[in-house]
Amino acid sequence: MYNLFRLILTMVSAISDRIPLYLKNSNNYYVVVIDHAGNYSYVNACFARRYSWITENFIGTHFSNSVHPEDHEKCGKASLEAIENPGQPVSVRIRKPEKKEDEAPEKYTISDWEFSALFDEKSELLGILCVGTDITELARERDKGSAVLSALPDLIIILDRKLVFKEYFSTNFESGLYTSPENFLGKTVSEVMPEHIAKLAETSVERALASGVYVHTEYFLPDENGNPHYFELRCVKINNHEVMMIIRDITYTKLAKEEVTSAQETLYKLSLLAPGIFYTYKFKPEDVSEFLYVSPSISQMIQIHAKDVLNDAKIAFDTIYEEDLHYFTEQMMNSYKTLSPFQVEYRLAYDLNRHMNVTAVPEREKDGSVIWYGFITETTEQKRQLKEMKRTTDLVAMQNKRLLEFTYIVSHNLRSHAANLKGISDLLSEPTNESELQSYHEMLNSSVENLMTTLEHLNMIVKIQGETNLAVQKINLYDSINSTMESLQIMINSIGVEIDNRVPENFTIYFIFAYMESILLNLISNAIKYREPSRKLKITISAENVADGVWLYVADNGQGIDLERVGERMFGMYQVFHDHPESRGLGLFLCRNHMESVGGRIEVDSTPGQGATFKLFFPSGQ
Amino acid sequence: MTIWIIDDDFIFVKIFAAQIQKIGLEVKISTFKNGKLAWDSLDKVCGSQDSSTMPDLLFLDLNMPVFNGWEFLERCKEKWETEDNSILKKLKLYVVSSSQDSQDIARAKAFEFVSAFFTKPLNIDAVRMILEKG
Repeated sequence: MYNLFRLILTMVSAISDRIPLYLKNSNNYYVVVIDHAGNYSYVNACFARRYSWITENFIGTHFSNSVHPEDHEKCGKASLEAIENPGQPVSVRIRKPEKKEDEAPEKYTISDWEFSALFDEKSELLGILCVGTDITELARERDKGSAVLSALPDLIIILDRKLVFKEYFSTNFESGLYTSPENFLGKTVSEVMPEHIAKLAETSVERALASGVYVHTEYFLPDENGNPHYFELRCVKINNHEVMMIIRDITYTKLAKEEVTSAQETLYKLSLLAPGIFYTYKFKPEDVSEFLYVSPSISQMIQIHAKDVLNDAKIAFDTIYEEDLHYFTEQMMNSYKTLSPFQVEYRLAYDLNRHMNVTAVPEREKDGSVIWYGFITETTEQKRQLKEMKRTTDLVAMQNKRLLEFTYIVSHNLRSHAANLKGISDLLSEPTNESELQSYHEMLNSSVENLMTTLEHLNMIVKIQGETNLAVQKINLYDSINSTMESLQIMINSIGVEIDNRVPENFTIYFIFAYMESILLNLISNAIKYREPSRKLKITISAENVADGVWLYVADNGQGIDLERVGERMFGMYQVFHDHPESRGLGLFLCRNHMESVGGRIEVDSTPGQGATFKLFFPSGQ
Repeated sequence: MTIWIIDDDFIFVKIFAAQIQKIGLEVKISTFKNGKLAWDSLDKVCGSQDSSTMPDLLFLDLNMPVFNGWEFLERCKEKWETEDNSILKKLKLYVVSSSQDSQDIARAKAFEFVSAFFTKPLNIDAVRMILEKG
């Protein structure tokens, strides 16, 4: 018993003596010796530690306790091979059991070993020296890598410096080479690829090797059926001798991209033709407010650039006139809530005479935002034409009304003269004496004279009404007033009128010259006729420019007009409100006619007893 | 008998006067060349409460300066409606106008004290009939 123990001890110490100290003490390598019976006769500290969960003391236990059952045979074979070839280590990969935790499925670690036969001085076999290291993590990394490579749709090949295909990773041979591995492995690029593509690949490989950076290029190669295919070729340097080439079919992406580009181009061309601005605008309160697309025609229409609008939506909204922006925003918010299209008209902030019309259709996005597809057109010209048309119809309607009024008055006036003549004729048919005859004769005379006067008036009015083609011209208002004053000079001097012409000397308006004279003459002579005798008559004439025309004011300090009593009739024909010998009821009627013939108007303000102010409006843009 | 002719057409007034003269009735004629003058006088008559100064008949034109016929009628109406004991209740008025407008005729006849609407010229028989009716 003692001797046996000694023998073992001697053997163990003999084995131990033959193992270098750095292996015994290694923290990375397992070192064990298996005897001829397959039992452990030595384990180093690294191994003992790692597998202490199997046994506290491996010496004398069988190796199978720490090896995967399927690998037992592999171990036996390797041991024999090692004995047969002394001095030649035999490599073997062995799975080892892993400590079980709970109900987890059985797990193994993977380790790489080298088996060598260990002899004593007498060339007696001491056992098999096994040196191993755990490669579980490495193997896992490798598996992961190959899984990634095989999952990629690309063809991945490794080439050497001489452009020979050495290795491939994925099975997608259709990608770019249209051939199977036996037709390209071991061959050069130029033997496998069409000439121009081979050139491209060569350059890429060379550049990748030289620069060490990723090289990317694209090529076109139809398949055997003639279908167009686009490929992307990438090269990455692995080391100084090898390059990884990755070839991917990008036909779908390429065609989709081309389609998008062509659709964009079509949209671009159409948007240039369309008399307006197309846009898409994305909005979410307190979150997004941006234009996704604005047609380039925006720069011609409203002097801002599409790229600026895409950068900052506010630039577009700033072109909307402030007063209209409120309504615009209201409609847009309503459209945001109800998802119904909206349509708004607005004016440009920098030019209020320009009118724009926007129509937009909303679409709700997944993130809660809304995208509007909109179109903006300019409606200035339409608006102007509408306005012009309305002005024309208004004028026609007014002239028609005036004509009716005119016929009514004409018939009334003429009839009163006719009635008088009939009355006189009736009287003449009765028996008459000399003095009666004399008197009837005078009446007849007067009646005919009055008829003549009325006919003259009517003639004059018809003439004025008919003069629709009088030219509108530039008139110096200041000069016109002065010349009217000159023609009334005798009257003005005789009663002492103070006329204050406050119109600036160079003030001009566009109007009909003859009408201007007639209006001023009427208004000034009216002021003189209806002056307040108890005070000196003062007439103040002034003018001002407003946005859409010119106002001319003729103010006096005369008797004034009871507007409540007179009202609208004031400018009617043959309407006389004073017992004045020269009142015929035509002056203001003509004034109103003149003003309305150019789309203008005449109004009056008055306080009875204090004076009146006639206000004449001359519209601009005639 | 007293009649007022309110008309700015002096020839019509003259013809009217001549027609009355022809009829041969004794008639005192006062003429007013606008509604305002006539109204001022009528207002004075009403104020005096002396019914003997009230004209028996009024002939009123419509188209006149200052106050036209309508304004005169409106003022009469106002007084007629507001003053119960006014001698204005005796008022008998004919509108004599060259208007043939049916709107004018209807509007005039709507006044209670307007007895009739005549279109000029008044023929001598019509004048006689009115005056004899009193």
